[in-house]
Amino acid sequence: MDKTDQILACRFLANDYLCGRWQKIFNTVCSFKYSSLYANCSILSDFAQLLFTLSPAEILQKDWQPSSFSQRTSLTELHLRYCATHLLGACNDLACRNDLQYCYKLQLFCISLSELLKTDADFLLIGDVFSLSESCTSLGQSIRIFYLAYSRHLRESFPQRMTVVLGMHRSGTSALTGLLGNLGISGPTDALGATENNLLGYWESTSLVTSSDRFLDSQKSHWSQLYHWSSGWWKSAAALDWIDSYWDDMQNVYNTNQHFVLKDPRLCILFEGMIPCLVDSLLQVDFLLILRSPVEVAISLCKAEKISPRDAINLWIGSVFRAESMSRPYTRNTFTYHQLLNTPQTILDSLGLAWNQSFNESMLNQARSFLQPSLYRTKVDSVRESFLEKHPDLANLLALAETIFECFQYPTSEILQISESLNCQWIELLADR
Amino acid sequence: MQNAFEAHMASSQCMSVLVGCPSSLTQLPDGPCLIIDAESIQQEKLTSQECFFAHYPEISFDDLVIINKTVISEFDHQIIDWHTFSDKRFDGPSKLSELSEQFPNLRLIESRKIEGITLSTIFKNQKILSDPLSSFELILRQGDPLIALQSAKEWLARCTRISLRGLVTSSRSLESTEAFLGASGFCKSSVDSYVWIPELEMSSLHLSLIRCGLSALFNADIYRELYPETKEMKDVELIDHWLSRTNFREIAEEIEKNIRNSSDRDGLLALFNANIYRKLYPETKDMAEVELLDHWLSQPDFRFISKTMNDIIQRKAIQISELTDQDPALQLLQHIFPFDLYRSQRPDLSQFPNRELINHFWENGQHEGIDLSESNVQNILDDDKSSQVNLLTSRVNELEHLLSCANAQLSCMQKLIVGLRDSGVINGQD
Repeated sequence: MDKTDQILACRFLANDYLCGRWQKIFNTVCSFKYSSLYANCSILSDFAQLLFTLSPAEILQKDWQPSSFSQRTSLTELHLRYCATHLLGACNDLACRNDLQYCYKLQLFCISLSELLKTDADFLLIGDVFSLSESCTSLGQSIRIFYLAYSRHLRESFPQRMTVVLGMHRSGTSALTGLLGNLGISGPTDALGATENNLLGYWESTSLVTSSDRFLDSQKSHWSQLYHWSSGWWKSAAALDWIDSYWDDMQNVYNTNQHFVLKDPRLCILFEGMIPCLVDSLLQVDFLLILRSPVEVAISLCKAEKISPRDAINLWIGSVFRAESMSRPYTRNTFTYHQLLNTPQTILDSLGLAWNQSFNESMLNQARSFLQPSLYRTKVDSVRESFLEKHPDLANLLALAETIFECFQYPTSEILQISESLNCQWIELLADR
Repeated sequence: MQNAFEAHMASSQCMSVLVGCPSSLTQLPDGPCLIIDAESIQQEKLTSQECFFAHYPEISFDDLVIINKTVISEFDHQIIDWHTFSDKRFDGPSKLSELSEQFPNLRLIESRKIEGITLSTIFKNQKILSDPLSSFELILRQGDPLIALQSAKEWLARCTRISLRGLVTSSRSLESTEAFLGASGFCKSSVDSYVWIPELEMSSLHLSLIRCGLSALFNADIYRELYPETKEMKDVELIDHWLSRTNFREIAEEIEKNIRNSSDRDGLLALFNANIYRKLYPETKDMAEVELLDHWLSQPDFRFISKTMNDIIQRKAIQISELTDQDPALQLLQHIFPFDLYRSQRPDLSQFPNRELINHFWENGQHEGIDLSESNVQNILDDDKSSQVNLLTSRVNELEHLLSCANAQLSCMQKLIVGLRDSGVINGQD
């Protein structure tokens, strides 16, 4: 990476920091530490290390020590500690509920960090990211959300290990969650039961679904319209309240001392609000993404719910994009609905590998017998043609969704670029509409 | 000076009614006579008896009415098995077997079926008796005397004398008859043991007083409402109109009911529980309350219905939501109900006023498993205290942790500044 690329990457990383994607910063630091591929990327490497050092989870450690940047005379311990003191002071005010002081101290932190970066020639073009007023607002909300988890963690009322199933509605999220349930992973105590639209049961918490729906109502929205939500929706006070209550509800309906599985298709977008909480030091989290052919989903969803085929496909695209992007910094596995129903053993093997866990034979048999391939009724081969005949105006949108489906089934290292390109095409289609 | 009542009474007539024709016309009483007999008696033959006009010089045919081949029965058109015996005095519905023990020589001559009629129906058709002040004397000589008396119904009130002379019947039948007469306000005459007279002697003075009393009690306005065709009549005429009707007792009840209805209808409505009445009589579910009241009062057993309704009201548990603020039960509840605790158990009800909280608990909360018993409230409060302590402890820990982070940071900063100052990198004024 040349210097310009590194600076651009640093600016992206700075944005990740402001948005509370601490885990992504940590992953970047690790990738430099353990991979020789980035040997000549000292700007990005040091910057990632700097941001990691100044992440709230690190700052709030009693024995916090700033990283040493021996090559950079500007990043002295004194300067780093000076910045950290502002951030720590802001956290103290947050804990003491002095909101105004919190905001001012956070502004001081952003100013001091911006100034610090400007003193180093390599970071000169990055410092401005922290001096923007919206940066401070964004960081303020990220730290607030983080602190929701941190304070719970201190009083031992925060989950320890969680698997999050993300997938579009009607993609087999319930079947996959049910499979995990049969493997002994804990589920909610108030699970939604089976209905004629979901014969295996939803495996979702009634109170969490209700909480999400109430939040959507308060935002004058509906789960079918979530794909319209911008990526910064979680920066509002209402969102903070909802995230706070969601963790409370989660604590009530799950046995959070055990490994549990959280599932709700709305979370493909709504779980973005939880990202600042998801750091290794607080919680061990992994994601399971499940994909199903968009035309199958659209037909099945329109049959089960009163939404238009266009909304169904757009929601499919939005959910898949956001779920993929959100889960990228974390341990994750991607499965397809077809795979789940036809070769569940491959999924069970992947899970065993991901969790470094071996399941006993009776559990595996129980899990396998839970799945019923006969429930796979809407199959792409038999319905695609008739769907397009009925909705010819959706041909381009469906084609894009199918490309996304193909690319995301087996994500490669180029998933970021592919995703950006496909996302751009989608926005064009949405804009043309 | 003779008033209208007395004048009217003076002109009223008395008729003799004979059930069973006497063998001799000399046995007929004075005045107009009505003869009912099972056999066929021709009026011409009867009046042609040489002694008839010698005995009744002033009587005309119009004063003598004979109803042939007719016997008195419990109800009209009843078919009676009529037995004719060797002694005509026994003729009647009694079987030989009922009489033979007491009268062993009696022989049955003939049995036949005759259609019966009630005395009440016969009286209704007598012109003389259409005058409400007219009266009659009843001479029973044939058939079952008890059936004859019972079939006269309300007409017995106008009977001035009942004679059982010439009637022979079983001693059991006679006992029943006498018991009935006693119960109907008749007593045996002190001079003639076959004759029964009303216990209250109907002197003109008595009648006059009774009439005055009736006039005072009679509600002419309501009577005119009941019978619009009488609206032009005077009050005295109205009483005659009323008493001339055989169903005068029913009319009196109707008047009473109307008086009751009109005088206290609003009061009744206030007390009347329409909902319970509708439950008792589902066919009235669409009626208005006023209509329900009429429906209730029109029922002959309205008093019993009222009692039934009261029983239901007393048995019916009052819902908490129906209690008024003044109700002691509600006041007690307001004192002892743990409102704050219930709100803490159901945060979604936090905006409910106290009264609605009580209703909610009664209708929903208790069925949803919320236990507000004293012991449970105490447990919850204890738990709450304990959780408050835990919460505060963890909060203190949190702040202590932050404080120690800040202290550590400050300490490091101080050491750093001192080190830099000592090494001359910065001076004391920086």
